[in-house]
Amino acid sequence: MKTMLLAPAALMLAAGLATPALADGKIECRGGPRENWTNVEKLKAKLIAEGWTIKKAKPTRDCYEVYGKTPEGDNVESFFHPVSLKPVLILKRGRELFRAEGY
Amino acid sequence: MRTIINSKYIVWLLLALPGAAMALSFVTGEADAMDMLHPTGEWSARLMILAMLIGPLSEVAGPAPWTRWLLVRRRWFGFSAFLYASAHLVFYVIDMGTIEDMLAEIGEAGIWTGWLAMLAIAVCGLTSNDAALRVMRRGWKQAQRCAYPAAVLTLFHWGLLTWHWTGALAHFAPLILLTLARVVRRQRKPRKKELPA
Repeated sequence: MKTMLLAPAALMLAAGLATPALADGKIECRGGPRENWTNVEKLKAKLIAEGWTIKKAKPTRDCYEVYGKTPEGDNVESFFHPVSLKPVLILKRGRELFRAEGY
Repeated sequence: MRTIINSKYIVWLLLALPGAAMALSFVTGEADAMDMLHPTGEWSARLMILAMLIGPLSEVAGPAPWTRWLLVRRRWFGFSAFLYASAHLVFYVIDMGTIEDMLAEIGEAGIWTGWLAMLAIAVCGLTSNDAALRVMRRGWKQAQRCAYPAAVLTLFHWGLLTWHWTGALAHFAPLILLTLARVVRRQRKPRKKELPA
């Protein structure tokens, strides 16, 4: 009985600890091969011109992920298509503010 | 070997190691305040789970030297969870920069669950000492029960913010399972007959 209870608990704890903490699977931008991606600096310049404040912009899986403040003043985590630089998903502390059609 | 395992300095050193690694990456500029949020929060949750796990684990596993070892040190794990949670809050404040920005998002479910979890962890952490035990007497145990809402709020804070429900639930699953096992065990156990007054 003890083993039946303790073994799954230990296994689940091990699985929890082994789960990669920063792997981001929130969205698939379907960005294609990286050699075709637009330079991230272009995305930064575009967003700054639109009134964003950028804390961080980096490639994440098949998206560009941008942390910053929108022109409306929301602190967001956002995902952009790395070729077209169009927004795919914008989250305010986990809540969806925007999701592009088809994603 | 036994001296090493029983040394409180070694245990505290081990508990401080993840924090030291995080602090080093922050002061060297390798990581910024935003990068510190996830590891500090995750370690706080892990240590809180560990501290809360020890009670039901000892009850289910029965008396043994290793459960006694854990029980004696349970408060240290809980207090460490509070320290990592405090670091998590400090880095959040640094990252946000202004009170206005923090207030602007306090209504978000992913955020207010974090604030309430911090409050509950603070109640546990700040009363987790002998002086508080002496002063609060019977109220002390009730104060320590804040760990339960803290755990639930932490789970939701984690899941709502990161969308990584699998990782969050995998961390909390042993605690949920063992707490349920303890409840079942207590219900099965015949109660002692009350003595007449």
